[in-house]
Amino acid sequence: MRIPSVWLLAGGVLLSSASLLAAGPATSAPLSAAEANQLVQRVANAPRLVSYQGVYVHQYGDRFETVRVVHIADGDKDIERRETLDGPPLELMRDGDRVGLFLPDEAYPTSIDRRMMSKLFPRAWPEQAQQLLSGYVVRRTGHARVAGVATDIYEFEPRDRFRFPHRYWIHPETGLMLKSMMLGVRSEPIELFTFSQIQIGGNIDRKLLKPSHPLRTVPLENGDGDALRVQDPEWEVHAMPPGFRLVKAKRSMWGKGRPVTHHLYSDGLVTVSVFIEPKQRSMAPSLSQQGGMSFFSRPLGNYVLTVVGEVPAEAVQLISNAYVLRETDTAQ
Amino acid sequence: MKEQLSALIDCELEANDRDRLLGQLGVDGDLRQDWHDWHLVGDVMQEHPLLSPDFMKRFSERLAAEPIVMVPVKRRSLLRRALVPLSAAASVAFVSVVGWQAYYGASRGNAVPAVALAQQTQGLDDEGARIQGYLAAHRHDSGNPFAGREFMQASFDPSQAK
Repeated sequence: MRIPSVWLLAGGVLLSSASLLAAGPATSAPLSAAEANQLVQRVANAPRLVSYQGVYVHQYGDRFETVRVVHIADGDKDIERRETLDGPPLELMRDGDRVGLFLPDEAYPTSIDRRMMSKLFPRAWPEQAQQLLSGYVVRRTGHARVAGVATDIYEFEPRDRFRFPHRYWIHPETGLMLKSMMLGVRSEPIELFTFSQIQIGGNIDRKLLKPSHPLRTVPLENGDGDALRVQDPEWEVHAMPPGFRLVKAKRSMWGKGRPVTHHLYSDGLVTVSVFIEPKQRSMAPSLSQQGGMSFFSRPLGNYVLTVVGEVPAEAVQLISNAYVLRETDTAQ
Repeated sequence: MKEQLSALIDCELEANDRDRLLGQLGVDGDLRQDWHDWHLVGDVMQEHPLLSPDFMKRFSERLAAEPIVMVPVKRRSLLRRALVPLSAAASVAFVSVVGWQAYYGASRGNAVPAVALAQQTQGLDDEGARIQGYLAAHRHDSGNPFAGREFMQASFDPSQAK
């Protein structure tokens, strides 16, 4: 009987919080709208207001990455620095709205999206709770330790079939997110962020903010959302899944003579991209899924419409079908 | 069994076999999945608009709520019975052969069940490079610059990847 218990212990350590959760109450009452609202605000604001430093692990499919993050909030100062600890060195430094990057030479973007900067773990939630809560029901399902710190576990259960469930481990005193997990349709983990070591508050060594590589400043770019929606005479957009909003629209050239219109939608937690480009050769619709990523491409008149996002296959199909060709005679 | 399922979709099955297969569909989940997948592939290939994802669920719920009306069975005319299967067979059989190849040949060499995972391509063929380009652009605008290192290192211009 000793061996099974050893394995049980090992399993428990590996899946620590998942197994604790399973042992907890199967269903708990959903948070009231007011409670959920308050939770979202608190967790969204915590990474800006709280000083912390630690190391987190990001796991996505078979990829695995360790990142050191230092954040200092001191009066009106808001500085953070991140660097990868395995694989090729990548580094990011942000002082307020100024961002410096160290990346492999060919990987420097011309600009960084402000929205994306506001999504770096543990900043995962938007400040507008309403949109987020229109897509998910929130339950508090238990407690667990993450990196030696006690946390509350919150379950974000989708209200429909167009998104995946999420689970969050929140430090109750500060509202800082210490772990997050996106689950697939069969409740299998798809993407995981978790601190393996963390110091919250207290004296944070300023030396940790010193860059270890020469950084290049990259401008922040705003996503203008609906204001930027490209009005095209040839297609129009009908009903999207509830909660999904256009956060960005842009048109760019991919190679020679390949103008691609890119619409980015978000429900507050996950994003879906829609790409529209001129059809260059005949193609058949194709649908595929990989990990939590779904991909659906189909012809739309003289265009190819491709939808990609961290959502179930149903959602990319629905979003794809929301794009329809305008009736040619409506112009009259 | 697969042949019979195909024949059923094409309305080519004799009454006896048909009843037996329909009975089988009622109890065999795998068979039902095949049935569903083949229709899905057919729809995608023919560019039928895909029904909303929970169509079947809502349809079943409404069907269950419908009152059952007992009426005597009418015999269909011989001509109708002869003509309908022919046209349906022609269209669906073509789609199910060509469709499978076109549908999966583009992204994968080997056939996999419908809506199964299309594994990330190892040797990047055209379709793989195309998908990779979209993923990179999607990640670039939505994700974390540290998330998925290979996306960072991938060129964001898929035209170069070809």
